[in-house]
Amino acid sequence: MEKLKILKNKQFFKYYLLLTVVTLILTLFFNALGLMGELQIQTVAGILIVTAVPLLVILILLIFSRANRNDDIGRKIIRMNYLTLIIMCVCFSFLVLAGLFSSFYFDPASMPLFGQFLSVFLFVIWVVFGICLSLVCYITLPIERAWLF
Amino acid sequence: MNIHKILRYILLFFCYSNLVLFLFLTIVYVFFDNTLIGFVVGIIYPGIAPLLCLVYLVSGLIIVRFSFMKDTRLDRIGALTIIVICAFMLIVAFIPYMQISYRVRDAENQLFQTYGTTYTNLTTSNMRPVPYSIYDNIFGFPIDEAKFSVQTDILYLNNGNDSFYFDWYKPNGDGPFPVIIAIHGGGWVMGNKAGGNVIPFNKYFASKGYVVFDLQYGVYDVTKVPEMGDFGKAFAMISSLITPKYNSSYTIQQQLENIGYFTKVLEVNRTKYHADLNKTFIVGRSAGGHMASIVTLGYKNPLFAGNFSSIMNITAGIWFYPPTNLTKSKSPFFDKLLVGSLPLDLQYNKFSASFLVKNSTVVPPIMIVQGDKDGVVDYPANLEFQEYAKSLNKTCIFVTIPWGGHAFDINFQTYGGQISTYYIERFMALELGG
Repeated sequence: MEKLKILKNKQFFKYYLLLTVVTLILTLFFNALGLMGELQIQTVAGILIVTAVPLLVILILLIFSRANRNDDIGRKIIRMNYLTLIIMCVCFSFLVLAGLFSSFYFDPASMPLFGQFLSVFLFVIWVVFGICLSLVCYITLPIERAWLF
Repeated sequence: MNIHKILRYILLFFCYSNLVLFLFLTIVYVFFDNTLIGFVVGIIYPGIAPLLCLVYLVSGLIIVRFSFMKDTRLDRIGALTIIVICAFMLIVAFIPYMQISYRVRDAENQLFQTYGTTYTNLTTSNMRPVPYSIYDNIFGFPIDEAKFSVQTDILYLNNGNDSFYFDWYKPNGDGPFPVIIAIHGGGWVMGNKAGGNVIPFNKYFASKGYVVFDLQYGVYDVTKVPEMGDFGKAFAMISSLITPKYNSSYTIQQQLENIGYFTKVLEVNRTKYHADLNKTFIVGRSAGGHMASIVTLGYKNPLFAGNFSSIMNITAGIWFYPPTNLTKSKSPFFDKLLVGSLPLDLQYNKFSASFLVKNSTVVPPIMIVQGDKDGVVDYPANLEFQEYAKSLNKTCIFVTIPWGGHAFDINFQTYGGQISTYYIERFMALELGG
């Protein structure tokens, strides 16, 4: 339990926020570049996605435990946290539907681009929400009353 | 009761429902894969489970947060139960992905043992670069639609009762192109070309320079089996949604004759369709995989004399989750399906790949692709078939899709579709001489 105390440290939280925001920005950047079809970039983009999702989920958990519900800014951060969580769940569910849509179409002469556009759109939404949440937390970190450190 | 409390109950109800639903899907997928519902879950679940794990993890989190926050023994047990359930579902969701490298290594070894340095020196610049890509899993399988055209519903046979059509996927250019004849599945009693036969697969190979023919070949009318009673009628009603309206019922032999007739039509029109019949691949899924196995192994067998185009040369057969050994069972179902020109026992032999592989003089190379959680077609039986074929010195590559269910490639962009396509295109290129 002693080791877990580091999670409640403000300095650790600051670095964690930085790590998350940088990973998410790189995820967005490399996935956009990946559209050009370069394998190496797509591989890095895939690794970044796999890294970014747990980073963001853990960040959301940290914010729930460290944001001050008794403060106005703290409450707003918590609301934004909930919103990001819901957006992530909805986006991932719809990503599944977009994939299924690309496979289950019945006219061979049509181009199933809708599913792919939807995937890109949903992906951008959750990454952007993640970046915004991390940045808002980073900016409000100096406000002592908004956090429980 | 205030509005916050009501909202909290609604949220909790939603979260519990999510958890129950996903737990049900996971249990069915892991333990009941040989049931009808297990078969349906197995088609889609492994491909989408990792993306959905966030939904039930969040549900679990909310349940623990709102239902079990008091520091009592009962609450601690409740919270622990939820955590264990979520961990179980999470592990199941990622098990197939952890096995990918092992199965890929196995397929690589088989190809290397069969083709040696020809495989390692194969030019793959025009092929999928990796067996599995997370990027493609999320954003879709890249298919260059500009490299081919599609013409649908071309009539090839009218037998007086029914008309049979095919779809033609033509690569750009004059060809002639190597041919893929794609045969849909559906347990011989339902199914259709196009939407019933993995369109992205056909498009992908058309974009790579193969002319693909996706055809209808008739189905058996289950209402003609009185022993099936109301189930048969109910089944027929459901299958009518995904099956063309046929006026007649077709036994397996008649279905095969229709496919054979198509090869003859193709022979006559090979210039028109830019088809190089000397390089023909037969691809089928499930019951279509069974049909593909019979065409692959039987097209030069005297048992099927006159059935197929005489100039067609089958370069290889690619069978997705095929039944390779039909044995007489207590059910009258197969007996009726297999009625044909020979006594029933011989018909069972005639339509079994395990019989034909030994009793045919021409046995083209075979690639079998199947998931090891296939609850419909016996996976170990097909592994035995591979061993049997290899003991007869025939080329038979077996690609296992980790924890893949029956029809795993319907959701084409997931790992099953990606791995199978990766090895199929290499196998085909090797058989075409690199």
